[in-house]
Amino acid sequence: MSGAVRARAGLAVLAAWGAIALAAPLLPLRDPNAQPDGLVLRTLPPMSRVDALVATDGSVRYAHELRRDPDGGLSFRRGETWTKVSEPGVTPARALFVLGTDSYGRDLLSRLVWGARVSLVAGLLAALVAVVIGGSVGLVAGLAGGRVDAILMRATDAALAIPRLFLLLLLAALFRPSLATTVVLVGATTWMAAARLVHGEVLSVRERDFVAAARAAGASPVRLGLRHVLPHAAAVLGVEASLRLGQAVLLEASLSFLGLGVPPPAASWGGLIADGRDRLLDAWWIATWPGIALAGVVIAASLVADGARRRI
Amino acid sequence: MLLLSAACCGRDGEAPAAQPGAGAQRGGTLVIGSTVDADAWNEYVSQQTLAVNLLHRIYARLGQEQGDAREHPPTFAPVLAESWSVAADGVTLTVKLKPASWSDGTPLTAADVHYTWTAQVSPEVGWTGASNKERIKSVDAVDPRTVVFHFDRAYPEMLADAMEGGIVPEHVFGKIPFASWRTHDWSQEKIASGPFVLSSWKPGEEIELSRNPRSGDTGPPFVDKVVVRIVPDVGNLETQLAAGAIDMMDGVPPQDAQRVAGTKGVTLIPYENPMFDYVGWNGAKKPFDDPEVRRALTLAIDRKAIVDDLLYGYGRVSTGPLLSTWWASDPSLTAWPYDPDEARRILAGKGFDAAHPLSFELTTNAGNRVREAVTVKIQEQLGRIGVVVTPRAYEMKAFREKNVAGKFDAYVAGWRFNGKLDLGSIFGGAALPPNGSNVVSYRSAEADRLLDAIGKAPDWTTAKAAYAQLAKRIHDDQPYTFLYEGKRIAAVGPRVRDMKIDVPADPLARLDSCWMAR
Amino acid sequence: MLGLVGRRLLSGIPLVLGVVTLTFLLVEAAPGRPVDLLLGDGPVPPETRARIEAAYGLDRPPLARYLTWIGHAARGDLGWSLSRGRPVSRVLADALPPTLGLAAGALAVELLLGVAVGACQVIRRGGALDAGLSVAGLVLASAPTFWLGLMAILLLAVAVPVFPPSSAHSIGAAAWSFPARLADGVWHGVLPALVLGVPSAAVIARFLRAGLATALDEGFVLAARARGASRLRVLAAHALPAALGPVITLAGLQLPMLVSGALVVEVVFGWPGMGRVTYDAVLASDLPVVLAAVLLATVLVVAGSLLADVGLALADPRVRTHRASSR
Repeated sequence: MSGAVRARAGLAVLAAWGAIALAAPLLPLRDPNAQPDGLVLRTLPPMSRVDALVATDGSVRYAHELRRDPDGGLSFRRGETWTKVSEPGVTPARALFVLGTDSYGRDLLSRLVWGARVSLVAGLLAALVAVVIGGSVGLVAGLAGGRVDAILMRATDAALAIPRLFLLLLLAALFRPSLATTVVLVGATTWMAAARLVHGEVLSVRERDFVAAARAAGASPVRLGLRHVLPHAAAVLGVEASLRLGQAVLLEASLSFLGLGVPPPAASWGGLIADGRDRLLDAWWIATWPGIALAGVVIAASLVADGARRRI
Repeated sequence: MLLLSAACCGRDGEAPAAQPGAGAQRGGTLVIGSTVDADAWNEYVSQQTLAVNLLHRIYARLGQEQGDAREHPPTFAPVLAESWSVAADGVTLTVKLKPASWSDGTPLTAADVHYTWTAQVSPEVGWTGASNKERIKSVDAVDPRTVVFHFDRAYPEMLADAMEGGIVPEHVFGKIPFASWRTHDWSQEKIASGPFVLSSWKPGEEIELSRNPRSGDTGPPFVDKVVVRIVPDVGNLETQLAAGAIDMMDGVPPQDAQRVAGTKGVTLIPYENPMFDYVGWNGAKKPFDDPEVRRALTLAIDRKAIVDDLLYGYGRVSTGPLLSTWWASDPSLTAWPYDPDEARRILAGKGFDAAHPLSFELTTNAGNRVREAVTVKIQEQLGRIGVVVTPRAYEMKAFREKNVAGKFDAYVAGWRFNGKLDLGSIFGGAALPPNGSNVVSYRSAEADRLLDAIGKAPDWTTAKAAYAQLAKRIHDDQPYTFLYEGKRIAAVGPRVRDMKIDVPADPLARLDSCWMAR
Repeated sequence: MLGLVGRRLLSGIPLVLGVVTLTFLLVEAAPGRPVDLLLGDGPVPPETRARIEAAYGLDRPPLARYLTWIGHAARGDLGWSLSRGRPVSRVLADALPPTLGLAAGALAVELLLGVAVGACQVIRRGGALDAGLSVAGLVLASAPTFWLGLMAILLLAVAVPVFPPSSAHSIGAAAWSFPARLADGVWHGVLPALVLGVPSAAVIARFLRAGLATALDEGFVLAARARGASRLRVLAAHALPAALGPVITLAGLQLPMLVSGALVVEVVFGWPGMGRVTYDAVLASDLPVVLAAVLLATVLVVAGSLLADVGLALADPRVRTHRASSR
């Protein structure tokens, strides 16, 4: 597979997940947070079929077993207890759980899809925050030159030396993030690479003829920055954003795994893996699907970044 | 007086559980797995249950509680004490000590008991259990083997309060001034009066206790060493138990109980946890100041489903603040049923309907998975009657601060009780923050009157009657919605014999009488 | 060379100070009071709470506590750990050897595996092995570290019990002889070091594959091949030494990730290193330990990148002079 094909494949994967995440409310999925019946539905393996009773108003009740009584009525068993169905119009059915359920009986397929919304949004926004902060710092430093340049770049180098996960952990533990704070935290700790890249780009572009001409013509530094330098830096920032997306999604997952990410009951992929961590021995599927999804998104993002880099 | 009969003649029971079954073999190392480490090796400074449980095996107490607290105040078996008696005036307890010595040979005398008491009540040490000693006016060492406790009046828990806390050696601990107790490394003090002595501590990894050399060759303990292995992951612990790498673990999560029980050679030991979990409604905030609203919310929470689904049946629905394993609880008091229709009706009567739903934030402390799951479940259940609940988890410090400051709607938490329940500090009018822990701002003249009566009750039957009335009052008012009393589950491997848990607050009490089969 | 080292050290000090101050400010800014974490689960009278607070000096104003800490730290006294009941310096002293051991192991895995796989891919360029290793490397570098750790435990310690599932040593190992203890420690460290080092190894392998591929097409290489030398020999003798410099830089760049990533690995494997200590301390709001751990981690990163730069300068004299002239 050539590089270009790989990049396109990566883009396709990202686009697919993005579409799924956007379309989640429209898809015929069960409520990701509903716990209709912990007893019957907990830790079901993938592709499990469960007996269910559908009432006339559409509500579903689950059971371990259904049977037709000699008198023609329906009875269902939950645990050890058999109960006769008294309401009219109740029909038996079989419910399919494609990816299985977790310890609370929640449908993993819908949690995976809805979790994509949280994780991808968190990743995308954090990547944007990182790129915006980093891009601004690099742009200002590169255009201003002199002492401002030196100070900003020194600060960036210093920020790179900070043990990032330690600080993230501290911030998360102290301020109990919501989705918004997670985005800001992750973005605020990953902007450094973007700053360095943009700074380098600006330096190389700054000395070019057309820029010198514009400056000679009296263009202000801001105008210079926005109209001439930024477009060149944009390509580099695009690559950065793609890499940051992958990294941000991973960081959010790590935070959730450590118990400090987006709070329950909202599903995020990291949170799903944390849910499944205690059940590795007897319910390995809870942690596996989100792990595969995560790895897939990160791989796709780095393939896209590779492809973009090739084109520069 | 009933109090006298329960406590007068000293020997309430046999010598502490040191009669193992037939065929007890000596020797071997018992390995316990734990997900948490000890924090400090001094009972009056530590706030961590594992450390305190192990410390009770090192620094023995005067008497050990027997697990019979359901019908009457618990009886005690003599440990360091030989016998005790209460004088006719009802407020003087005389304890005679056995001839005993510390592991370094120094005799253990009444002076040590007196010194321990000064440490227990010292404000510089700041022991969080010091309220247990409130009623003791003084502790006198009359002679090297006789100690006299003077109480300010007679009450049911006199004996328990006197026996509370391990006796520490004055000749070793006395060298460290009380003001430095919290910043001293107590793991350096390798001295003991109990069956075991601390031989090494690698923080975060391993604790090793060895047999007290003064224990003699015929009596307890029967194992040579107890090693506590710190493994932060519960799943890992279960795997190691199944593989025989550890012999015992505590805190098996309920959802794993069946699988662990099914492992070859592993036996589950479920035991009562002296704790109840509850939803605290902010009584200073509308609409939670209305007891009918609180009752309606209780009716709408299916507590049985919580016990079944989240605790996998290892627990029971709580009826009130009096733990059902405690003598003061009234078994005839039943919990409010699960009746969502009635709840909906009551709330509608208060003006809450689909257009104006009751909406609030339900908080708990982050990191406690079960409680977080409880908030989610309550959100779901209340959602069925149209109440909008937003669950949020706060980091522990922030959680506590918000509660004390009254900045909450409702929260899920629990109270743990080692022995006595101090209901006054939770429900008393005088215990509103910052003076106490009545963060739900519960105000009831009748409750205060009953708390007073309990405080003044001379014997336990009088106290029990007052407790029953208080429980009924709180049941009607529902300042808390009482959720459940959970069970803890310990598990032992095939080589461990004679390990039982009689006293919920002291699960490691049988470390000295259990043994390892070859 | 000395100038480089000196300059770096000088600029490292304000950096460390800045990071420590930032950490202090962050912990101070958090809502709640640390003493509330020390009170256990029962109701505690307010006077007792105040006493405990005073005993640990938690009731003094933040600036006073900060200055005291800085003053003591400069003298080597890092304070008392609230959650561990012993001096912070001992907590860190106990945690440092496992951290350094794990880092060394991971570095070894990273360099050896990375170089070996990279060279292998170059030699068999374009073949199925090359493609397979690329895919494997991509997957391993993209999966979340903790997930890899859990899978490693599941596959290599539970399903097939080759390695121990957690901790740094076997029970009772303290009584063994030093060589036995060392071997026991290494055996326990294999899985964590692999999980920590393999993703970085994949990055290095990828880089080497790209870098060495061009080297193999160089004129002198073709000449050597024409003389009959095998690709491997040519690689080892000519291309690898040239690529060594950038590999060292790359390894140096991975250092902060080693320090941070080790945190997650340590939590998953129960490895008693600085990452675990920091995680526990953060959750317990044990400020002295957190400050000291952040201090140590920053020092390690600064020292590590300094070492990487020195290594780079030693390996490639051009870098030394180029840097000197560009300042």
